[in-house]
Amino acid sequence: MNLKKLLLVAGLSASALFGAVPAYASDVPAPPVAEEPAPAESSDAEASATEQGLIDQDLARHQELLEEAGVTNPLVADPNYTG
Amino acid sequence: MYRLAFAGSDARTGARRLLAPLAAAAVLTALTACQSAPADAPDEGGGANEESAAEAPAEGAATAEIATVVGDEIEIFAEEGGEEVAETLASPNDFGADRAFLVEQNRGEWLEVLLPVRPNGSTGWVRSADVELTGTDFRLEVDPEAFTFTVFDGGEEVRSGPIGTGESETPTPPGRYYFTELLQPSDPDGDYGAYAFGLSGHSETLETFAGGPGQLAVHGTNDPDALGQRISHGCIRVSNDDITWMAENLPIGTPVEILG
Repeated sequence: MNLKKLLLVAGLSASALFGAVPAYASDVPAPPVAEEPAPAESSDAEASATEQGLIDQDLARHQELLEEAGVTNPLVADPNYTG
Repeated sequence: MYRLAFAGSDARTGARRLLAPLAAAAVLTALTACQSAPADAPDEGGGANEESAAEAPAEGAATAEIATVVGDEIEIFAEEGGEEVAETLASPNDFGADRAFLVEQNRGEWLEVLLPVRPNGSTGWVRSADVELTGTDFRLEVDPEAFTFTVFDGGEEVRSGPIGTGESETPTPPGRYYFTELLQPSDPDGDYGAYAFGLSGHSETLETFAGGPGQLAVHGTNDPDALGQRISHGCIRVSNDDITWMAENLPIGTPVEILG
């Protein structure tokens, strides 16, 4: 009897340690089947439009930073300094 | 054949007998399964140009006053309270920026200001009523011998980096100046880089340059490998990262000290 108990405890402990899942735990959803990645069909125009959108976002954020810092907005002009 | 403890009519008795070992198994699982998350590694320091730790404020790191013209022009007098107008400057300036001056002395109704005219270091007096006063704790120190710049916020060093300075025939003149305007060139990959701060000073060897009056500047560059050398016609060149940081943090009127 003691041996049975010892075996039972050892078995349960080992199963718990190694993450055994009871047979009745069938409600774990199966992982979704990985879909095949769609072929890259974006045209050059779409890629450039996306890139332009990102650039515009960066510029807008840059302007916000300047305003938050209280510094003067830069003047868009070509310098004629000594260089 | 051994009979399982929980089979048949002994199920309830068997269940009770299993309670202790199951509890022990549960405790053992809890003790072995729980793992403390590894301590977050301390953040690594950034590059050499990142903001440095605060240092003790240097003595004399006073706030600089900036006087911005409120009208369309401003009269400059040679003396405090003087009656004779020495010069009249328009606002905005030639680049379209509001005319501003670095205040050298504040005498209440009158201000002695650094002028953006030749010779370098010229000062004059303006009426306080003709300007709006603001302040900044920032200042830029340029060391042409060491080819470095340092930006201070009060007594704290907040940014530093390499510079390019004027060649021997077109040297960068030492002195005290200030930022007069901030320009963003139409081509950020051009000779002036991403941004250019005009200075109140001028070349002492060039009367004109590129159609302009030989005005000095601190600006970016499209040739970062040239930093650390005497390469310019008098301007202070910094990296585009450094000039962008300056554009985002330093106001018009920031004092600039070029050592020499």
